[in-house]
Amino acid sequence: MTAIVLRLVAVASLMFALLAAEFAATFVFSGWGRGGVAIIAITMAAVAAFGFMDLHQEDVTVWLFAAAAVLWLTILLGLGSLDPFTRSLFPTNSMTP
Amino acid sequence: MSDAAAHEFQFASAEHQRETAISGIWLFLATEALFFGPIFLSWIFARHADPSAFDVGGRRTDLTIGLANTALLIASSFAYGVGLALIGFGRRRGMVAWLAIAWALGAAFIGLKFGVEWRTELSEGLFPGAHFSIHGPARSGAQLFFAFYFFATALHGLHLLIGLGLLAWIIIQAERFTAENHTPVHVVGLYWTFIDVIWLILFPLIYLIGRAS
Repeated sequence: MTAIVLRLVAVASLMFALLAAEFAATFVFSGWGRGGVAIIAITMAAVAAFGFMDLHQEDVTVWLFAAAAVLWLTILLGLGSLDPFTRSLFPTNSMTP
Repeated sequence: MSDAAAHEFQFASAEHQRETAISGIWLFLATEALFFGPIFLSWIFARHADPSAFDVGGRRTDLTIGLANTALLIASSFAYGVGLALIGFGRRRGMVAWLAIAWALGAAFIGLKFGVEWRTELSEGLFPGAHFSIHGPARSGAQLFFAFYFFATALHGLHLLIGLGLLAWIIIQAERFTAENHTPVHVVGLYWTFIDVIWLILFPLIYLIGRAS
C-alpha cells in the first residue's frame, strides 16, 4: 500500500515539475519556444497515462486501443495540418465598399 | 453481483469480466481522443491563419486561474489513484475519503473555470461577436482564438461534469465495492484521469503558446 502511494506521490511530483518546466519554456528559456512547450505537454499526457492510468500494467488489447488512439490522432492532426502548412497564400487586392 | 467472485453469465470468470470492462473503457477513451482531435486541429488551422492576432487573444486569458486549475486536476488524479489503491486493500472508508477529495478538487475546477474565469471574460466582452472588445488588426484572429477557447473549455467542462456525476455515484455506491470486486472504481478512475489528460493538452494551447516567444 505504502509503495503504491509513494509511486503516486512520485508521479504527481513529476507532473508538477513538468508543469514548472512548461512555464520555464514559456517565460524563462525563450530558446525552447513553442516546440518545447508542446513536447512537455505531450510528455505530461504520457506520464498521466502510465503513472495514473497504469497503462503499463494492462494487457495487449488495451495497448492496442491506446496505440490506435495515438495513431488516429496522428493521422488526423498530421494530414489535417498538411493543408494549412503547405498552402501558399498570395495577397490579393480587395476593394472595400 | 454481491458475491466478490461472482460474474455475469456471458463471462468465463470474474477476471474475464474485469478485463473486458477495462478494455471497453480504453476503447471508449480512444474514441474520445478522436472526439477532441478536431478541436486541436481547429486550433492549428485558426492559429496558422494569423499567428500574431491569434496570440493576442491567448494573452488575454487568465494565466493564474489556468495554472491553478491545472494543479487542481493533477491533484485530483492523484487523490483518485490513492482511493483506488485503498479499495484494492479493502479499505472502503479510506477510498470514500480520497474520492471525496478528488470530487471536491474537480468541483473547484468547475467553479474557477465557469464561476470566475468565464464570468470575467464575458463581462470584458471577449465572447466572439458584434460586441467583441478587442479592436484593430488583431480583432479577427483574437475572435477565432476565443471561439476555440469557449468551445473547447465548454466541451471539457461538460466531460468534467459527467465525471463528477460518475464519481458521486461511486461514492454513493461504495458499500458494493470490495478488495476483489471494484472494477467500476477502476473504470471511472480511467475516465477521470483522461479528462485530466485532455486538459494537460488544452492548457498550453490556451494559456502558454500565445505567451511564448
